[in-house]
Amino acid sequence: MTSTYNPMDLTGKVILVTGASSGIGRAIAIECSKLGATCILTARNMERLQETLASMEGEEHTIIPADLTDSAAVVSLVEQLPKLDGVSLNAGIEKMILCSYAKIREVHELFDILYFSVVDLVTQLIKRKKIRQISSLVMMSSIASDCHGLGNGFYGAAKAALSHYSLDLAKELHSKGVRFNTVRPGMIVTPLTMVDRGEDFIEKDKKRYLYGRYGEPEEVAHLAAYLLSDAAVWITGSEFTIDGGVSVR
Amino acid sequence: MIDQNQFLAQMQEILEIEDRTLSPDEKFRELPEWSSLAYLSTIAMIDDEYNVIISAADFRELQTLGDIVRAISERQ
Repeated sequence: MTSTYNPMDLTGKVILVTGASSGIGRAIAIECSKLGATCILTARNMERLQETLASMEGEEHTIIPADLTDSAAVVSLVEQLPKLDGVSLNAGIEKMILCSYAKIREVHELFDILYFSVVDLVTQLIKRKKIRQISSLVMMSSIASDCHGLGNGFYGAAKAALSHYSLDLAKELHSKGVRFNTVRPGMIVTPLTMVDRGEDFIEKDKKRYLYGRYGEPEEVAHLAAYLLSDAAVWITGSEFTIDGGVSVR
Repeated sequence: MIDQNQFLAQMQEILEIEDRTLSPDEKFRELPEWSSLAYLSTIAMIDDEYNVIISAADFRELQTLGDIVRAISERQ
């Protein structure tokens, strides 16, 4: 068999994927495995992590379940990790909250998962020297970080904070050879997003997209895999929008 | 126990209707003031004021403001 040219090849790379139990995180884990990476999957739900694992190629992958909003669990996860060549951060929730009816507890919950848990995990990875010299971290943000959909403001604010954090990391850690980039998807069809949003929200909302449909997790996974690969070696501190043209005005 | 008149007044506030009084027979989706913001506000207000959560699927079945009052009262 002749080797096939593939600049996105991930053979030999060890990649931690958070939020790997469903949606975009799951698709990224599967995609990375197809490109030859060895993945460590984390999320809260063991059963759904095993479903992800069952769809992956290769035998070397491992599962470490963890609730990333629990600092002790983050430390325990990081202690169990080998040296990493890549990290794909996807753990998330979504919650529509209107400013007029905001419950501070729910706003905290959004920020805990979307922002503080990432800060906690990345800090521990750096502190415990789990990130190799030449490596890539990819954060899953959202176009909500600078678009203003009704009820989506706090989610967007947490994602904006995440984007900001990623740029700060890129600047602070560039001399260590670690790349930090952010992916900003539009609406992607996942169990998290395809909840009943009431009235005809989804049917109407889809029409705003130039392709008339929402994205698929696999379409985002291709971009994340590219950023994790050596093909993206000169890319750091960047944000990539992937949204079927909905941002075009 | 939900007070229908109080609920109608709360809906008037959400819909910013000041020049007329809403009745329980009002088909709210036919009001020019009804919008996606009004929908989200109505669901949030009901959660806030009545401690009741009406799912999007259940809400879709409701036609009049009186239907909403009944839906709240059934869930209290």
